Formats: sequence, structure tokens, C-alpha cells
Amino acid sequence: MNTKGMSSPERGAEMSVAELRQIYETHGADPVAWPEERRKAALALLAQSPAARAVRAEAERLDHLLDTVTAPKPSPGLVRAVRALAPSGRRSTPVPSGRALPTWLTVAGWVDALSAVPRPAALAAMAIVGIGIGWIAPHPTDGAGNATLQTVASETGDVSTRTAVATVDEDDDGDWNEGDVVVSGPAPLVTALLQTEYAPSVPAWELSDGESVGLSQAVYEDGGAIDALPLE
Amino acid sequence: MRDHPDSRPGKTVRPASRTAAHGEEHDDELLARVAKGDATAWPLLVDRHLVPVVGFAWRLTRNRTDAEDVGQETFVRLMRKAGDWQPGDASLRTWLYRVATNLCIDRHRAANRMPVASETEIDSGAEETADFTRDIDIARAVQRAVDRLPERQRRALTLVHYQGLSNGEAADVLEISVDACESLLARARRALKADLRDEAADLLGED
Repeated sequence: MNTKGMSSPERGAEMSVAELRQIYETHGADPVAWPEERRKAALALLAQSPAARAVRAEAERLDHLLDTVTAPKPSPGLVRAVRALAPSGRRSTPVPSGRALPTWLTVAGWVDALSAVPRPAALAAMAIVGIGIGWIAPHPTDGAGNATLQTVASETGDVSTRTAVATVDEDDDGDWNEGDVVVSGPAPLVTALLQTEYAPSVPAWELSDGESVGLSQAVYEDGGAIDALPLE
Repeated sequence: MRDHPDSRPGKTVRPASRTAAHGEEHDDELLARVAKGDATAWPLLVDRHLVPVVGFAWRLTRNRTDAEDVGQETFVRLMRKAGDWQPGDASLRTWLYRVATNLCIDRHRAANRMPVASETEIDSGAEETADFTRDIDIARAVQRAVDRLPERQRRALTLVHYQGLSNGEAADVLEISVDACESLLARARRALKADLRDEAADLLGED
């Protein structure tokens, strides 16, 4: 703590106890957070005034009481799911030699895939691709045709790579048909993948057995590998 | 994590979003790498900001499930935002807390409910000691007092006291002026002092 100037009673007289109380109420008990231009006068007042020190004690006690309430940390599952949102371009763990990285696991592969799709792929297809490459590819806005695209969310650990894949195939008439959306992979990854665009607009998903469920339930009830159809 | 000079014994360190420490990449640099598809940058951002964002959401919702949902959705939105991120427009943590705040407000409106203090969650991190029961009682009393604050005061206090934001940063998150934010903070602290004066003094064994 910088105490230069504290020895001057005159400077302390530049601030009243009421003003000091206002500083504590506005900025808290930690002098580091106080306005620079008022800190010196406040510290000088504290050095010479028992009433000022009583105000400080009251403010510090409030901070201390507030600090007794601690927030819980995120669950390991949430941490894994959020980390799994990482883009699938450069990988932190090299692919083992002898195993080619599928093109759909690479950003370059996605660029190639997009260029091969008759313009445009359906908006819905682009939407789900968004988690993987949405920030490098514009949404198509013209033309017609069908598209089958895959996107991937991956989590790279020290010894293995967990991957979730979603395949979207929407007819150019905009209708959804059974089999148009197929996802597979660890449940948290699949959930994160589909939540990016579908969760706000698709209230329910239909499992292959015809049951209508919410997204998370669809993913988890089928053990992370579902053939789901968004119900509009 | 923000450094809080500790002049009193027993003071806890508040969780706060970390800004880049010396030698670490700035958030803007990490986001630029994410936008280029670099999978190694994203976990660094997650490790730096997920804990404080979920903690913040918990303090607003007082519900662990809601807090985790808000945390996940905040980072999903960040991933979608990465390509459009403009360095220097706003600090990442300000942006994260603004998104999380709005998500919490949406959930609050949708559920039309007030946050309910959870008697079972308050003990996270506490150890079984001779003072355990008294500490829990104090924490519960404080939590109830914070919950009684008007929403805007509670958000401002949470951002500044618990998340370690400056008054100006909190004003940015809440999209209000610094003066308005400081007015909220002063009223919140006055209300808490009044609310806790008798109760906390009793719990602390003071006269």
C-alpha cells in the first residue's frame, strides 16, 4: 500500500468522514479500487481519525461477510462439454502415424466440402456446420439443390480424440424427412453440437422409435448415438 | 484471478475472471486463433473464464443446473462470435458477463421465479471444522441478505465484489452509466450493512 502523504494532517482534513464512508460504499474496502485522486486524502484521514477507522472496520466486515458465500465450480461434465466446442482445425495431439485424418475433421476438408456442394446447401445444413466452420464460410443465399454435409465437434485428450458428428440432409423444398439429421458421438458433444442452432428453433426431436423428446433427452436416452428428426 | 490485498486474517480470495497474466496470450489473441480453427486456443479461454462465468451465473440464479446451462450457452455463443470478434471493442470478460447476465434474466423471466437460496450448496469448499456450523450459518445469513437486494443492485454488487470487475467494467456489463452503477453499489452496501448488522454481529459473537 502506498502511504506517501499519510503523515500530513492537512491533507487528511481534505476529506470528511462522511465522504470516506461514501468511498467505502461506492468502491468497497480495498483501497486499490478507490479513485486515485481521492485515495491519498482518504488514507490520511484514516491515519488520524478513529471515526474514519470505525468506518473502515465496518466496510471490511461487510466484505468479509460477503466472502463467506462461495460459488460452486462447474461440473467436470460441463468443463468437458465446453472444451469440446473447440474448432476441429489444428489439433493439440498429433494424429497417430498410419492413420489418416478424415477430411471432415479438418477445416480444409470443410472448405473443400462446401465448395463441392451445389450452391447453396440448405441454410439448415450451414447452420449446423456453424459450430465447425461457421466463422470462415458465409451462408449461401442463392441457387437450389440438395446438400449432405457433416460437421464435427471434437475433444482432444492426451490419449484419445472424442468426436461427435452430425449429418444434415435437407431437401430443397425445406421439408425434413426421416434420416435427414443423424448424429453420433459422446452425448455432451452431440448436445453441444446441436444446441448451436437447433435448440432455439426446434422444440422437440423425434427418435427413430417415434418418441418425441427434448434434445438433451434424445441424446442421453439413446446413449449418445441417435437418429433424430427435428419436429417443427 | 484478481489480486485482493489481504489485510485481515481469514479473508477469502474472490473468484474472478482472469485477464492474461504476464507471458500469457491476451484473450483477443486466443480468439483470433480460435477463429482460424486452432483447436489449442479454445481450451485456454475455457480454463480462464468458465469457472468465473458459472460462478457468476450461480450467484444470479442460485441454481446450479441453471448456472451450468447459462455457462454452456455463453460459451456456445462465444464460439459463434469468435469469427466476428473485434479486438479492442470490449474486453472478453465484459462480453461474457453481459451475455451471461442476459441469459440469467431470460431464465428468470421464463420461470417467473425468484432465486431460492439452496441450503445444501452453501457449504461448497468448506471443511468440517469446529467452526463449520457457525461458518455455514453466517454464509446462509449473508446469502439471504444478498438475495433480498433488488435485482439491479445484486447484479452490480456481484460483478464488482465477487467477479472482481471495476465499477466501470460492471457498468459496461449492465449497460448503464458508471454513476448509475456506483449508485447501485452504494445502495446495495448500505442495505446489506443494515440487514446484516444485528444478525451477523450475533453470529460473530459480537456485542
